[in-house]
Amino acid sequence: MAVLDVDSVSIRFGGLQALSDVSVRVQEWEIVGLIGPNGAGKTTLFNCITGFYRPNEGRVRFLGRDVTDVPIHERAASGMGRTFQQVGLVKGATVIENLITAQHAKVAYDDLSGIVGTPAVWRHERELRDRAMQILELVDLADLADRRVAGLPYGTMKNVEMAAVLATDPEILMLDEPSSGMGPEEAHELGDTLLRLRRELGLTILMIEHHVPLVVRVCDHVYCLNFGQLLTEGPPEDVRNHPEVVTAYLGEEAEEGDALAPAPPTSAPAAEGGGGDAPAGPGRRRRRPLRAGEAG
Amino acid sequence: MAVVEAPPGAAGDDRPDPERPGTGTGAGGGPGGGGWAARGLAWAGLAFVVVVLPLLLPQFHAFRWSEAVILAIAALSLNVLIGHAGQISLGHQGFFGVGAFFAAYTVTVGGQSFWVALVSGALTGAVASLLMGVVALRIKGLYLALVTLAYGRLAQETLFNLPMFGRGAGVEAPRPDILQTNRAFYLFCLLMLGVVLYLDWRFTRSKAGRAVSAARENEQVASSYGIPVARYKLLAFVLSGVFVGLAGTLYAFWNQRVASQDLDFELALFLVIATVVGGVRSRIGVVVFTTLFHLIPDYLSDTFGTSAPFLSLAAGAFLLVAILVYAPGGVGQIIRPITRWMGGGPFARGDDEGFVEEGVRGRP
Ligand SMILES: Nc1ncnc2c1ncn2[C@@H]1O[C@H](COP(=O)(O)OP(=O)(O)OP(=O)(O)O)[C@@H](O)[C@H]1O
Ligand SMILES: [Mg+2]
Repeated sequence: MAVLDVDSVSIRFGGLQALSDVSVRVQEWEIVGLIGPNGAGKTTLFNCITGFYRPNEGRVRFLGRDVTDVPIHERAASGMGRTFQQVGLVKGATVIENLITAQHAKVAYDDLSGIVGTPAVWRHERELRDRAMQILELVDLADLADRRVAGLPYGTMKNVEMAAVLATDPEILMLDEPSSGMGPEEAHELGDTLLRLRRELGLTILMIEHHVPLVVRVCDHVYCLNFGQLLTEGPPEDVRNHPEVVTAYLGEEAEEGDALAPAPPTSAPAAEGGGGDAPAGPGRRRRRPLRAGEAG
Repeated sequence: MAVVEAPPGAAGDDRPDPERPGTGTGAGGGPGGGGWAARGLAWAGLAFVVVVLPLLLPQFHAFRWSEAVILAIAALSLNVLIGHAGQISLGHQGFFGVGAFFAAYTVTVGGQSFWVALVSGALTGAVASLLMGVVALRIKGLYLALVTLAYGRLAQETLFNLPMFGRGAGVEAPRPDILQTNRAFYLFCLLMLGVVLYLDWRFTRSKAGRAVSAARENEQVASSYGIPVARYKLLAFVLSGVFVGLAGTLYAFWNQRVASQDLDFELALFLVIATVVGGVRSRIGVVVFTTLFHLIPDYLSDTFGTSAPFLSLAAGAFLLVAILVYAPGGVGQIIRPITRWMGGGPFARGDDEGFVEEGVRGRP
């Protein structure tokens, strides 16, 4: 049984078809990558999966249950953990407070006993704190436990956010550009962390990521979105060298310099293939300015 | 979401404080024997002024101080909304009055005891506030402020003039025998303030308070932490309603009668100023400022003969501006070194006290 089964999801915003007929499937224990140029609809797909957006068509199934009409907090409580592209943390609180808050659905006492303060509550609060500490140690952030989130560097916040999502005890970890704001070295460490999390916690991961070496290293399977449509899917190497993917990203590079190309060993043939690829190439290129116009 | 531009946050936040005087001195940071002696002396002094002094002075002082304590409880109620939940109420005299009238009614017409009235007053406040919470789920910001304003006014014009509440003539609220004297009643008010402080403290350090706080700062993040945001907004309104209903009940029995003209917009304004200048989310700051804000003009007008409410609201407007500019965390922020020291910490400012909370986010 797939952990996550996104079945032909489509969503429109006014005149913009942000997703059309997108299907994605994530099996248990898999690390699945979701790539695509800016504005392709990756974050929108996350929002449809987690309930922030209601797709116009299609269903989302999670752990065998149709959750298309389930509210966000219930999906989260049932094991959908996600991070946000712009860092989703309670920034006025400290790191450990975020991790304790994130355990909300797992708290064993009810609101009233919490406010009255029974002995069981005190005991349980200590357990919540201990568990938060364990998670921070797992991702090497224990020394930041009492720091206020607002003062931390962006890359660190991204890591803290991931720790907070881990504290929700997720079945699937959905990461929206986890390596943004990190240097190459930190990104490499992030890769280690993700692989370790899967090994140690048995996590399933779906991640949006632009950093190609990271995607190639950790992902078992990659989906590529472009203009709201699934361009291709498959093992990371295949997807990276897929002519249409290369073209989609080259168009991007021409505009914003954010491309697949930097991956050192295999980039030469890929770039070549993209440049000389007549059927898909020109068509894509012609659509570029149109998209930019829509966005602006 | 965040409705009031709640004067930026953690500055007035009680969280970073050591949990309690006496518990855990922390690794290596605890005060020595002399330090504890000095702190003990400070606590004893405080206890003397708050508990013993009013019992030594003539009865009318205890009467006056009781009102200050009751207003402090009402301000703590507003702090739950403005501080913890990021909501606003400009009609808090409405909830206060609903609690007061119903409690008085419970005793005078219903023939129940004071203790039953205490519960019924608090529950009535909770129900009235819950209804406002349902409205607040749909209306936000300025519009919510206007709705609460209208509610307070409407309550005064209609609810408080219902036949069951004496058609505007008010309702008697005789005290029980054991609380007959002003001194005894003052002690009881103090006890209730202690209970409210304890509940508010537990609230902020347990599941519900964390959920309300997270929802105030970022609803999207809160819901992705598995928090049902709407439910916790309502819970904040209910808790606030219990506190203000209790305050209203105490007020009825303090004055031994309730009448609608005592519960006008001026009370709501006083409470908003008291909460914001006291320091949102700083329960100590709110209590300290509210009591002084009430008592100082009272005692001044004894001497100078000015009308107390005028003095207090004029000063309040000035203080509000001063606070917003110089110490967004309010009195709570200003006295933080003292409260921290009395809790066993060093007499120093924290390093993150200038923190300013973010505004509303865009799409997820
Ligand atoms: N709530 C919304 N209302 C209107 N348009 C939206 C909304 N959410 C997303 N869009 C549009 O949908 C398109 C896809 O956006 P999305 O954020 O999913 O892209 P992305 O693939 O995550 O890009 P990036 O790599 O830049 O994060 C964009 O054109 C965006 O403007
Ligand atoms: Mg995105």
